[in-house]
Amino acid sequence: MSSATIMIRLARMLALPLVLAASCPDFLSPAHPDLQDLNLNFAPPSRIHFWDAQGVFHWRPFVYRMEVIDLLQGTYQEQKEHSYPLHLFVAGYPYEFLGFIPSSTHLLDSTTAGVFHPWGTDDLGRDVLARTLAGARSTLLVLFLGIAIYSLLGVAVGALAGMAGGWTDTLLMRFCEFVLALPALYLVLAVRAQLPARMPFWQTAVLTAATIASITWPPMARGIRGLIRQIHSAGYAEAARALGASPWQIFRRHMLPALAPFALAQTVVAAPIFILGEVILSFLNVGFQEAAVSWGAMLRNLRDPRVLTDFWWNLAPLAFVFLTLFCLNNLGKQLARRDPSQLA
Amino acid sequence: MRILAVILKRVLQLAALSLLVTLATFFLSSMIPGDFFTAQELNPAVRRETIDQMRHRRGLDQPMPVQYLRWLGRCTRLDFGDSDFFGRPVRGVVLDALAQTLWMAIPALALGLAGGIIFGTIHAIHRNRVAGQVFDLVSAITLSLPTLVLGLGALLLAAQTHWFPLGGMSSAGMQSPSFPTWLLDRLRHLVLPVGCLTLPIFAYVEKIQCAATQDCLDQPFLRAAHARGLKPLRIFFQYLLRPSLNPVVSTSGPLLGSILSGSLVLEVIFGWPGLGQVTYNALFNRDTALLVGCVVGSTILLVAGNLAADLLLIALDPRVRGQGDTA
Repeated sequence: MSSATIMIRLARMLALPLVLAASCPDFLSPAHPDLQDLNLNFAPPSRIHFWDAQGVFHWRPFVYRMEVIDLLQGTYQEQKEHSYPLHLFVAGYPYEFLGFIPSSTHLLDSTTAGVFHPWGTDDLGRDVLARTLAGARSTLLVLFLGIAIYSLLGVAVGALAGMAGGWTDTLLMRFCEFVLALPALYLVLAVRAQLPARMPFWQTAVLTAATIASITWPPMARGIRGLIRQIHSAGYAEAARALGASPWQIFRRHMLPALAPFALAQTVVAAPIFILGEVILSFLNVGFQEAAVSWGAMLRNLRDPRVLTDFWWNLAPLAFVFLTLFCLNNLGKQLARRDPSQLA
Repeated sequence: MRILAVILKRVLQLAALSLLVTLATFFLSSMIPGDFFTAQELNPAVRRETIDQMRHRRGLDQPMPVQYLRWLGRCTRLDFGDSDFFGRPVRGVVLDALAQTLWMAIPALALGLAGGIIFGTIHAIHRNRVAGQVFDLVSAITLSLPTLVLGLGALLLAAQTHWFPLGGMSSAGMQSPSFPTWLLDRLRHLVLPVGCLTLPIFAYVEKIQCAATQDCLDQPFLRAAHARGLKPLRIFFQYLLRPSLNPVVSTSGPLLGSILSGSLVLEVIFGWPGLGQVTYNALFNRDTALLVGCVVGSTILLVAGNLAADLLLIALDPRVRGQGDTA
């Protein structure tokens, strides 16, 4: 087995837990992602113990409450007087499982809320694990919205150019080249400058996705146009024309099914751009704003330089960005391998 | 003649592109209310008349089409207006910032291209051996590491180990250093940003070069060269390396775009005062003239890069010269 195949298998194995984690963040996290605890800002990840202070072994793992020992440095120490055992399926804050099943069960927590922070806390004492999982939802929302706009725009322009031909085709393809030649991130910033600084969550998600899609669609349009020109001169399309089928009928019956594999592969190739775009825009403070949670927004914590030297657990979203991109790249590779002729 | 036609076409394209970009940026910015002086309206120490006077002097009281045409007229004299924030001509600000960006971009491009071509070729030649498998692994991982992740990771490393400075261009407290000391200090500051910019370029070029070399390896002309008894070194350079460089050269122009985007992120992370950081600050300062200048500057750089790539391709591959359309 070649290592490329191993990578693809690894990506497939990783993709499932990632999707599961993103779909039920509340179940997996011990605290609400927006719950602040200002007495516990930048607390380090809880250490899970089996042996207590007397050296006695316990089958049930437990954690200690954190206490500040240096107010200026923000250093914490475990308070060993009282231990908090961890339980599976603990009742905690209420939420909707998968968005519609009311529940209050959480996978792993101590029965006392606000003690167990498996990945530590951020500047406002919010649980980093909960925020990373909840942030996945925002980031993936931008991904799916972006992919939808990207496909729609790319297929529409490509189909129009391919079906119409002539000067429409030339004009649209020149426009594609124009967009491709633009400095992408600079243009996104220029476009973003025209929008209000603070926007509600959904508006931010849609506009972030649309901004990124509006400068990344040309490869999709080019590929679709090429395929349509190919099919246009194929025997069966000509036969359909001779039978008096309208261009729309030919497009729907004879072209759309043939375009689907390419369009799918192309969206997987483009997917990392949307993840990365959201993270970069939010990191640069022009995507999701404070209060909304996303991977890029979490990385803004870095404005406090102590995050790098002392509170490194706040960089957890970075690992998730890497894993997601790794999965998408390798799944894209698999699609390309299955159908190498159709990848632009 | 071919070369002249390509240059002419590219220059015309550049002009049209820049014009469209300025038009878009200008009119988009006319859609939002307010300008650079709006923030001062709330300042009780500033009189309303002063603000109006400033606006008049800057021409901000004119309607947008007039402003645009005036600006365009000055552009023909290479005067791109004044930055409201810096209080000096946009051209100077952009050129200074561009120079700082090139400190990062040129080494990154050179290292990424050289490394990618060398390792991509080795990767393809050893594709069925252990070395090829190792390269597959390295390629799969580096392709998933964008500049943002790398940049923050590198910053974390620097903060934990103190091996490299955390950002900026030079160490504080150096008064008129001698040239070697200055250069050494500058290079120390360059290591992390250049490294983070290089790795994604390297991964991309390596992937393309590997695929191109694999294609060439399967070509019959290679076997024919072997059969003619040519020296292995000559076969390698003339029959394998030269035709396989084609895709890398033609993608290195568009690659410049991703370098610009990558350097923007890295400049913000590492506090490097290049074009990206200037653009980013212009965005938040509502400095329209500077923002337009930066976008135009980066567009010119990009198209110039594409032109260079086209010319290189013509020089490298005689087959392209015969074709009707290269651009």
